[in-house]
Amino acid sequence: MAAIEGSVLAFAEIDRAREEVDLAALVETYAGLLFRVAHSILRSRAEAEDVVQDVFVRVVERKHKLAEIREMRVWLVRIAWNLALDRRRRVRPEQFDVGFAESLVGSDVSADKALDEAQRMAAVLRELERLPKAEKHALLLAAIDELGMAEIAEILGRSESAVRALLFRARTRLRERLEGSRMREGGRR
Amino acid sequence: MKDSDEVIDRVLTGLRDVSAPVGMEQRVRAAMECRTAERTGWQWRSWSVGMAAVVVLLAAGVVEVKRPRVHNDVVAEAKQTLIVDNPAPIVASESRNTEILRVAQNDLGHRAPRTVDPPAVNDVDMGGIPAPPMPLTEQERLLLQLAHRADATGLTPLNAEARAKQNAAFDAEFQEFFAPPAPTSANTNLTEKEKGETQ
Repeated sequence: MAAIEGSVLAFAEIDRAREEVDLAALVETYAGLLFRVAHSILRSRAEAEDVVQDVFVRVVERKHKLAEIREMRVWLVRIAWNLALDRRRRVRPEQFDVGFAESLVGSDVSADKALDEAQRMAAVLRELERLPKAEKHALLLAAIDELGMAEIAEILGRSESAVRALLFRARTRLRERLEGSRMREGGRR
Repeated sequence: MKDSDEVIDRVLTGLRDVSAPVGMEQRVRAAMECRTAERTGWQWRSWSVGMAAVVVLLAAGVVEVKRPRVHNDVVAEAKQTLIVDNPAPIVASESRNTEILRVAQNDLGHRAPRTVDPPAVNDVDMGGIPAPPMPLTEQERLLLQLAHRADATGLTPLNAEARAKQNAAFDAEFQEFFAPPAPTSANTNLTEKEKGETQ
């Protein structure tokens, strides 16, 4: 009985070592991409890291099905995308937007100019959030610049041409809204 | 217009160029190992619980197999008794009479083997519960009352020989009581005197 238990434990150890190598490779390959995907939604580094951990915990839970997954990259990005969207509903992202906009401003500018630039970037993020959901998602996924059009289309569940149209409309609408808000602010002054 | 595009591009570039925090991969790996350990422990626990459940089921199966066997033996014995007692189908009243005769002919201390009603046996077959004791028939109850309440004289009618002796004794006593008295000499003189007075 003890011998059987020992051999079972040894096999489990070998199996676990092999899985660890595979999972470690997965983490090394995709952690950065998943972080950026989650960050594009949440605009918070801590929250994005939590999402990445959640993604790989789910990978562990489904490790016996990993062999059946054909496009690991798309599968992982989709999990991260959905987890980030779910987390965004629970946190208040506006506070993260301000901090992220400030982080985009260069340190070599004056304080007044830095404040002005930070406000303009925060306005972009605000208008981005007001876009229709499909346009916003297409624009954020395209911004990551690591995903091809086919992959974005698969993640969003649309055709490539539909994604291209969404990207064009999102960019146009965002530009128009920013111009409109700037015009209104100029009129007030 | 150009200014807006520039700001949009800067924001999107900032989203693209964001870098993961230092040590994130190690933290992710640690979380995965923790989760794997939890799952392994859970699997061992579930395996142990499963084995325990199998053992319990096997034990229950053994008990269940043994219990009907004992029960079936009892039922088979009862059926055998029924066959021995009633080799052929008997009408209800005839069965009752036979039973009364058998009980009366046997010694009072010895109880006759009891018959089992086929429907009762079927009822016993249906359940997994041991058969309850069969209820007494009406004749058995009467005999029981008689045995417990009557004295030896009262029980005599049940024994033919004793009953014949008792009847004979009763007849003898009757005859003795009503028989005419034997004639004596004094009685003869008296009768002669009575005859003279009448004349």
